[in-house]
Amino acid sequence: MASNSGGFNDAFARLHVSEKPTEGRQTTTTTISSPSSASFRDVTQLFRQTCQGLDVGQLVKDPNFTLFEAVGALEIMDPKMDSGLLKPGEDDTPSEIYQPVLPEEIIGIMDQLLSSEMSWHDGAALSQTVFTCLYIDNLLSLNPSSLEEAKFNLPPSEAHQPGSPTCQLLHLILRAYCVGLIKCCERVNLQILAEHTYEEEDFVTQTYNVSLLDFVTVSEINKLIVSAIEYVDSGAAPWPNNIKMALKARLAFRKLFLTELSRDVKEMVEKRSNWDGCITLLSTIGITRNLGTAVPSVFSIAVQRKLASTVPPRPIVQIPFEEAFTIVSRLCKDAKEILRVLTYSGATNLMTFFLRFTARKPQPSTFVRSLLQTLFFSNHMALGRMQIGHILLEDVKELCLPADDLFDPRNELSEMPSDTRFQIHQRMKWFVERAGNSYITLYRTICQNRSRLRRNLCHLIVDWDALQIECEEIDGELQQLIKEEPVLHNDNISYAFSLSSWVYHYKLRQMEWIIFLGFELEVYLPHEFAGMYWYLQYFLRTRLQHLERIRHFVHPGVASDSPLAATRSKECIASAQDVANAQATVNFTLLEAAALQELCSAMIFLYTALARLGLVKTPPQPYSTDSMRYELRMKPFLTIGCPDVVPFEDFKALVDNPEIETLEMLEMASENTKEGRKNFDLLSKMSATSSHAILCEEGYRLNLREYLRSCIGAGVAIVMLSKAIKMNTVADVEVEIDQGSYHPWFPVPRISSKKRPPLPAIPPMGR
Amino acid sequence: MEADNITFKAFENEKTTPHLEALRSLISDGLSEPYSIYVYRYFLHQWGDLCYLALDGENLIGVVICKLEKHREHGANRGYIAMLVVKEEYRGRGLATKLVKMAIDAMIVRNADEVVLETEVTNTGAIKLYEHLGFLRSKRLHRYYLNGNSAFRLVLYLKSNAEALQAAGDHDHDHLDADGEMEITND
Repeated sequence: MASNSGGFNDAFARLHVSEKPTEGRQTTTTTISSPSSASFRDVTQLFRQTCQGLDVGQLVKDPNFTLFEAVGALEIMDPKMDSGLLKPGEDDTPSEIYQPVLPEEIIGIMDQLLSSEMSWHDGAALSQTVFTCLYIDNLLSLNPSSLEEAKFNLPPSEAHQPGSPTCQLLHLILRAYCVGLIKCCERVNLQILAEHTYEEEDFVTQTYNVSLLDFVTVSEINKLIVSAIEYVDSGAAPWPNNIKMALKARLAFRKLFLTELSRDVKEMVEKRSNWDGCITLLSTIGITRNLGTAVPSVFSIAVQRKLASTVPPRPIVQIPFEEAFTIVSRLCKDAKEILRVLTYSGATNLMTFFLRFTARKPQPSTFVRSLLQTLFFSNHMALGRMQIGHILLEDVKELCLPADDLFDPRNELSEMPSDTRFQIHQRMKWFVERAGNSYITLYRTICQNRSRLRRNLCHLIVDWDALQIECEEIDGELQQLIKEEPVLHNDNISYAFSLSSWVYHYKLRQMEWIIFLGFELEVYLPHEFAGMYWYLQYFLRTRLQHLERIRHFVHPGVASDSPLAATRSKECIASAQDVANAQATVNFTLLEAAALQELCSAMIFLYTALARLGLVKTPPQPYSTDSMRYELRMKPFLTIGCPDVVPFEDFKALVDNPEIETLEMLEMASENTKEGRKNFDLLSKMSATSSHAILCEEGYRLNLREYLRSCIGAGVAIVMLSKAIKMNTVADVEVEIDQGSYHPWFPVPRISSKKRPPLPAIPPMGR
Repeated sequence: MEADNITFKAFENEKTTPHLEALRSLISDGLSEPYSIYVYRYFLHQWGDLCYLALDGENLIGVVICKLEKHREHGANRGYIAMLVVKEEYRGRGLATKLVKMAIDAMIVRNADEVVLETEVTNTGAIKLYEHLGFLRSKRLHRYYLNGNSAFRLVLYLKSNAEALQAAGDHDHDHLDADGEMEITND
């Protein structure tokens, strides 16, 4: 059980959907305010008296006092809960802040602050990170409402005579850096609050009612930083060049970083971003890292006592500089990389980018994933300048190429409800709106952390299932409106059903992802692998059949006999290139699905064989039954109309394959790995354009290599296992499931021979 | 340590079992999350019969704390294992398994449809314990705990959906639906 507000797992409580976070937003802060007319009465005596009437063990409880309240309550004087508690010997008077005199110390503090800031980015609270810095605390504690007020309030010091370099170090250079850093935190918080993220889980936006210089503009702060840089550059600053360089790089980075964090989508579309500038300055910070001297005494947990908070005290988190440096460098690189989506190059390419980018290990930071959501869709615009409907329809066209008449711009001009064009337009408008919402949600969901992605996909497929049914109806109506000619497919007269076909394809992919992510997140136990790969293989086989069907309907001339043929606009007619593109997309998607299906099939046989040989064991499981556990596993899919969940008995027989000999089974697995490998090899040879990976070729190829590695790893395991059976040495074999060195969706069993038990030690003499 | 000194009993109420303070400090030492007295009272006063203690003589050495209630209005009768702790020096003797079994058995008697809990993904001992009783991991919860660790939700079905729905006497598919999310797991 998780405790306190932090641990609540309430999806609603954590989900931020606020478009524009306003100042003074709600926090968990409790302020006790009372009207001036209120009069207070001491009820202690009354309370004590009433308690006398209670028996030991008797409890008075308000029915509205739920577990939520119980868990959220803090106990005063409990060191685990009371952040204001003073341990014996501790005292509450704020100790004087050490005032550094050396530039090395300033460099050290700046780097410690970067560590704190990145610890915050990495999921810790401000109260554990940035706010524990006594200088940040000092600067913010008087609640500055202008830049002039945002300064340190320190007792006079001999060493810091006004105007002296030591004074400038503190009151100009460190101050400018701190002010810049605080503003960076504010920008990051605003970004994260603007999109879907999970509070406490991905990120803690809580500021404890401390204003992060909300009222000071970025340009004012940048000016302050510039004047600090100019001072360092001037003759008045008596420090060696390398020290000057270190200070300047840190100040300049802060200025540039703040500028980048403050950009809106419009500026990004106009290609005004300069993350490269940040990356260059970071390398200087890395090189000059050793010039700094850490000053640990300017960070203190005692700051938490002052923060208005209903969460228990939490320890200081300050990751090592190297780690912080990696995080900030990656953040800048990733933030630059996601700008690629603004160069729109088709819907399939866009989806590939989202999938590959967010699957990266370690996952890109919450900030970057939030920014990616904003780039994708904000202010009713996709990618800063497009209608979402445009991308949606392109996605449909790239795969299914529906009849030209559905996209004729003349449809929209018709105002007569009885007109065919008008009726087509109404339906397409409905589709763009209805499917558009699901489509946006899918992109946003892909940007969530991996655990949430899997959980949320379980909801999404229910929506896509409903969408599929709704679209089937619309497809039926459209096919009558355009007098679509049926086509013979698999001995059946059939229609294209383009919109619902497209929806079905996406639904199947999401169903596959749910199970694949189950492997990635280690939700399944090895003895369940065979069954779960069976389901994947089942979904993939269904998708392959569906793609074959789609392919059948992607050809020129689909729209030839429409009653609208005579008045059709030229621009809506699919070109030979459009047809070829859709065919290529279907073929590529078929190949990819086939490759995955082969590898899944290999895994079914391999893990079934391992279970038969007793090398993968099922735990005892005295409670529940296998069929109920199956039901639990299938829970996300039980309500999905098509494909059906297979009855448990059938499922068991299909996975166990009792009629196939183990060696034969391994033989079949080996064939599957070979086929899979062939397909993955073919995929590797395809260009980024044909693979729809032009926005993320590197990540796409890396992923393919990982699939191949799993294929090869499975092949090796199959050979070793077959050999052990033939040589009758299965008893000497040891199996370890390797989740780490292969594709996260295809963990591979590592098969080795048991080390022979060491010879018994010679007993000591005389016993 | 003599094994025969170890006894098990249900908590029932504070009158019959004056162990509340011992119980608090045992759990406080054993688990990372801090809980207020209200949390203990919340569970013990409503489901004291689903809380089991392991005692060595008079000393409290292990405890399991649970609840059992309808999950949403027409949902499953859901058992929840909130806390499980065994004193370090008594671990590895199957006491935790015994405590959990007692709790599950009591839940079965009280017609539970399912039992759920969360555990830290790094707590391999606990995960193994539950998986050896028949639990499955149903989902991973990212950074679920205050210390930043992720959790697995572990689930044990005690009845199939059809049975559970029949027993509930309604055709609400709430229990069936793919949604595992909306549940306000204030736990």
